[in-house]
Amino acid sequence: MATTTASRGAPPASPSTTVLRHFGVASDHHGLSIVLKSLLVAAVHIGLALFLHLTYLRSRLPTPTLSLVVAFALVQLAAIVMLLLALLLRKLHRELRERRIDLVRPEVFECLASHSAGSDQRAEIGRLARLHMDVVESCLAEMLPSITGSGRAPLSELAIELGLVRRWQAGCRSHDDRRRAESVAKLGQIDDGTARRTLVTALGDRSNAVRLEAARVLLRSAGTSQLERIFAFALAQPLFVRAILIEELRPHALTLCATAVQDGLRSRDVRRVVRTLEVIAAWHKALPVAGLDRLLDHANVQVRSHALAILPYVCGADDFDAAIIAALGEASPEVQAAAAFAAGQLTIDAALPQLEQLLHSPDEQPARAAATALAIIPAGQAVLERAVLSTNRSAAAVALESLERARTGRQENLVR
Amino acid sequence: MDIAAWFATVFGFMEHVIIFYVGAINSTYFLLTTLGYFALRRSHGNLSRSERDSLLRSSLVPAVSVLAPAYNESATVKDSVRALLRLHYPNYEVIVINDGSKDATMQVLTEEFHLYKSSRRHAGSLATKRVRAVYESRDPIRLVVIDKENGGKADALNAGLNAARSPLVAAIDSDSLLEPDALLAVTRPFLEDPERTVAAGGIVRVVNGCDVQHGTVTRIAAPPSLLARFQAVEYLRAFLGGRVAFSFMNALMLISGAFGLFRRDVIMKAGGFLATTVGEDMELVVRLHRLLREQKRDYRIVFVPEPICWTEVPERWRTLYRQRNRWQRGTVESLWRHRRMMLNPDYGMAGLAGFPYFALFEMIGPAIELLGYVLTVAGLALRIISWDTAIVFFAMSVLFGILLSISAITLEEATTRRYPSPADVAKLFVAAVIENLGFRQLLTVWRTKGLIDALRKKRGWGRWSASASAGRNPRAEPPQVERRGNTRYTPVTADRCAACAAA
Repeated sequence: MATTTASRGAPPASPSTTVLRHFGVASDHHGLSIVLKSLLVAAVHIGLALFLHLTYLRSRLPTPTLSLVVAFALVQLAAIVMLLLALLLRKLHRELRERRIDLVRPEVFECLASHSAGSDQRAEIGRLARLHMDVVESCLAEMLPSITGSGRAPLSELAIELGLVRRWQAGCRSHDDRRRAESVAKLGQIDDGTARRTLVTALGDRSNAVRLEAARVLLRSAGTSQLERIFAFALAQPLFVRAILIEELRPHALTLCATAVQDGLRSRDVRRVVRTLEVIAAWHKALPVAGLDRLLDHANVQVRSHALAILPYVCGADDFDAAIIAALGEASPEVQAAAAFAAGQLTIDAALPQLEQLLHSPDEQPARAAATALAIIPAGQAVLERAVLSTNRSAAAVALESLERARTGRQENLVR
Repeated sequence: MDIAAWFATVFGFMEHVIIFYVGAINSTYFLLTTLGYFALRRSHGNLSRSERDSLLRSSLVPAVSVLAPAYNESATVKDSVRALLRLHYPNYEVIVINDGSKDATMQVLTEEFHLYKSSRRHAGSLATKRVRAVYESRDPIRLVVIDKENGGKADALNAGLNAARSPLVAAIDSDSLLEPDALLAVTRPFLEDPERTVAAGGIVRVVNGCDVQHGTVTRIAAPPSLLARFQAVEYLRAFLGGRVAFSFMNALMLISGAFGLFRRDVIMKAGGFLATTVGEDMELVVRLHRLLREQKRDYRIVFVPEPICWTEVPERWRTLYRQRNRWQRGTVESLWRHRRMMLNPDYGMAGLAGFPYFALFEMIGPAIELLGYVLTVAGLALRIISWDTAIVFFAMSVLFGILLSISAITLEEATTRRYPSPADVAKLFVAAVIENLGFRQLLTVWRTKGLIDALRKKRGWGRWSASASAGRNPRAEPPQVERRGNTRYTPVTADRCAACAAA
């Protein structure tokens, strides 16, 4: 599981989780607890039936079989009735709660707004909290993100006074992932040192959702001071967390290019370098990225291909024409395709002979990339027309498709 | 011992074996539902709005090719494709495969989406029936239409796989309605664990009775007819209980053909969909388990409860019979083909739990249950078995069945809560009770027939068939649109027709 591998300082696997993992079952502590809970429910079910059979029904019914089955039937009926009752009560409770919330919310919001504006409403809010703590909590959590400036401080203090911060901090230690994530989100609204420390700790949580939420609230609340830290954190995360955080970091791309991106590119960890390059490509905007020449000569194919692919987005990429042309002649199809993409985007006329050669490659990926590049470079269209008439059927087909796209003004359907 | 006494002993013994079997099957269902409940509580829930927005902007999210085979769907294909083009996903293309339709499906697509004959290559390695042409749209939409000779759903999907260019492919039925965020939601396991996740399936729900506008479900309600309502309960039981539990154990043996997402490279290496079975969706998943385990790869095949695919269930008894017969034959074929996995620890929980469950309970279960009913009635008539035994049998099968169905609805209410009206929930509860008093027994008979047909190597999709449709069924009724929702073909109901008209 991503959550397990990504968690930091995870305890060593117990024998039970090792067994679960061997058979491919979700092997974290959640997995074990789910299995145990289910077995417990089944055991209670059977146990109750046996209890009823042994203690009450066996002596009253003519045969033990009938007694056993009646016991099971009674337990089933009881379970059905309990399920129905639980459902009914749940629905009723939810409806009543929603009605109550609808009645109280305007009053709570009004008090919170006045308090935030400077009028001391602590007594009134305290009274409301004693009666409807959940409503006050939800209103406060809803209001805090929308308030900036001096109005935040009284509300933060209020949350501390009402014991909500303590509650949210306790929520951050819950076994329930969703509750932890919610608590982290609420805690992120509070301007308090302890709360901040809890959030930093949550960055090492085992759940993707909690780590993501902690990083997002830290990014929002701490501003640029946390940018580099969050960027470095994002690079180490699974794609789900990374994709969301990288998008939230997009407005700060220029700032991050000064140091954090450079650190990522200088890393000895190849995966980290590749991820940094992917991020630059994902931001899809012109950025000043230094040190790419070193990466174009990197021993790792993935690094080379990703570095080539971001050249069109890097300021001053004209200097790399020779490197791109050289990369078109590399053995790796991945590198060739990335070089063809860069050559096309930067319209390097000097690359036409290499692109034409690549068009006839037996590998589809570089051949298609070359065809796309040739369609972009004005002089390349003649090359494509020649290829259409060539005896290499594969090259002819790729060239024809590319020409058609160029003439209909259609892009390739998929970005990648 | 005289013959009568010997017969009575054997009869009684068989009856007890069947009672034990029915007890075991129901206990297993109960355990799976419980496991499903706890596993569902642990699931992530829907993406938050801001998470969703960030993912929709991100180019790190892998591209998806949505494969939608279509056969004789001129009445619905326009709306279905429009709905697919409106999905919320950052980077996807829709590939509609016209599987040699005999009606105006291709013409409707060409006119509606301004198709032109494209030079797009479709040179994958999977063998398929001849592709006549590939079309793309002149409009700024990511639509590819493959026009091919009729070869069946699996063959059509293979043609789509050959043409697809993205790392992930979604196999759907062109008449299924995906919720706008369904594709993004089902991709989540691939984002969280890209190396291990090879396939993921979403939940399929019954659209009968819901309001549909322009291919989108706008109001959710319980199906009006009892037959569809029974099936709604069945779907809830199967998806929220069974599949969540099996996914938790990494022993999911079936990703519905109506909506599944796969890694293209893995599926291509496995040889694509098998065209010679009627249960190509199940066969592929079982084959993936088998191959990946044999390659000793660490992998996961996941069920995601959040993404919703709406499908229309049959409201005619005959159509339902054909569907269940086909499903049963598909199950038998898939399991028989991979019988080596049965109770084989080399295949992990798929071999030790998923496969035996399907073999013992889904494949031969109906036959044994039917035998139980016959023996009980006959035994009572012949006075060979006592009333005690008969009561035990019926209590085991009927009462437990009711409990399971009600548990499934409770599970739905406790977790996803898709039915807003209490009246709809109440209707489902009533259906959950009634379905065990006749409907389930009827399905048992039909599924037993399916088992027998499979053993007799009877092939074909019932009335629709890629191969069978070409004149093998003289009783085809033109007004009834034959569709492949979850490998089924049902008529278009009024609400969906209204949707077509509105569009």
